[in-house]
Amino acid sequence: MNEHAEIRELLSLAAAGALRREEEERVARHIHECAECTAEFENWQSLAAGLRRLPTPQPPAGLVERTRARTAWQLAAEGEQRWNHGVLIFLVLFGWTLTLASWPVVRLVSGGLLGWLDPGFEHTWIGLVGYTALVWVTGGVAAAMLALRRRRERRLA
Amino acid sequence: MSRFREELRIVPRNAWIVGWLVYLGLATLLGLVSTVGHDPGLSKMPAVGKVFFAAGIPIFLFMLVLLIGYVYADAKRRGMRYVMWTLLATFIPDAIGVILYFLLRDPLPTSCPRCSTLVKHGFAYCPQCGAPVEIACPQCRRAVERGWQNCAYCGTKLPISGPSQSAA
Repeated sequence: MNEHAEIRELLSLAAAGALRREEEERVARHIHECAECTAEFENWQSLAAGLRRLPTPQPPAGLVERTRARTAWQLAAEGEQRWNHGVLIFLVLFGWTLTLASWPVVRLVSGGLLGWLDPGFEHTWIGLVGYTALVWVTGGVAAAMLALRRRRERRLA
Repeated sequence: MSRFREELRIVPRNAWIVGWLVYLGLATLLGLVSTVGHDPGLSKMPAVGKVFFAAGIPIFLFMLVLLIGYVYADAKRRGMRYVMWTLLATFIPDAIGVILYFLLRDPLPTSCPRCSTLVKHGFAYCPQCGAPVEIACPQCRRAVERGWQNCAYCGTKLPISGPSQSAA
């Protein structure tokens, strides 16, 4: 690409005032010597001046506030999603710890009542497995019921 | 850590009081059972083990009470059915109710840019002042999500540049 073609590419930007100082000086030097580019530059200048005279469209009232509120809400929602992942891992571990920690208490406080109901239940491992299964099956049933209810609510919304 | 403190502040004072009472009550009960009880396993346990047993295990119950308090306050601020969720968190054993709550809870309400009222997620307009808080379908005025080509409620074709944001 020769000098003339390069400068022609820059004329619109020069008219818009979007060039660096060295580029502006280069364009000015070329225009001084080239009648074709001078005419094109003047066209661009009148177009840019016309565009500057056009009324600037105003954004609807409250758009900035709405966008800011929306962005803040989205950031909060993303933060909450990350936080929820950590909390859920903690809660699952906590749930299992609670299951294991509450078993000796249930056994101790029941004062052998479990063994009275069923002698085989007194064996720690059988009892623990039965107790854990009962607790998590209850949780699973509750989760399924809630999920069904939520789906129904969404359908009605 | 600051987020953790922020969330901890949501737990109501009553939950802290109940948590401490439950902790002290269970710790006392387990302390008594482990010292004067006749359980063969516990009687063989060294004194340090008994102290750990009596003081350590109730910590989990204390934490559970705080979590239930959190569920109550958090569900309330999100406009959810807080009584139902508190009961579920309380009666489904081993914190499974709390896990379910965290899986199914609604997003936090957004603040109205005009009157600062908290508006439930999914509302297109503020119920107090009528200011638009979400992008809405130009036909049925219900909140729609970015990227939707058609309104999910009335089927109206949404503009490519984004649905109507018309102010009230």
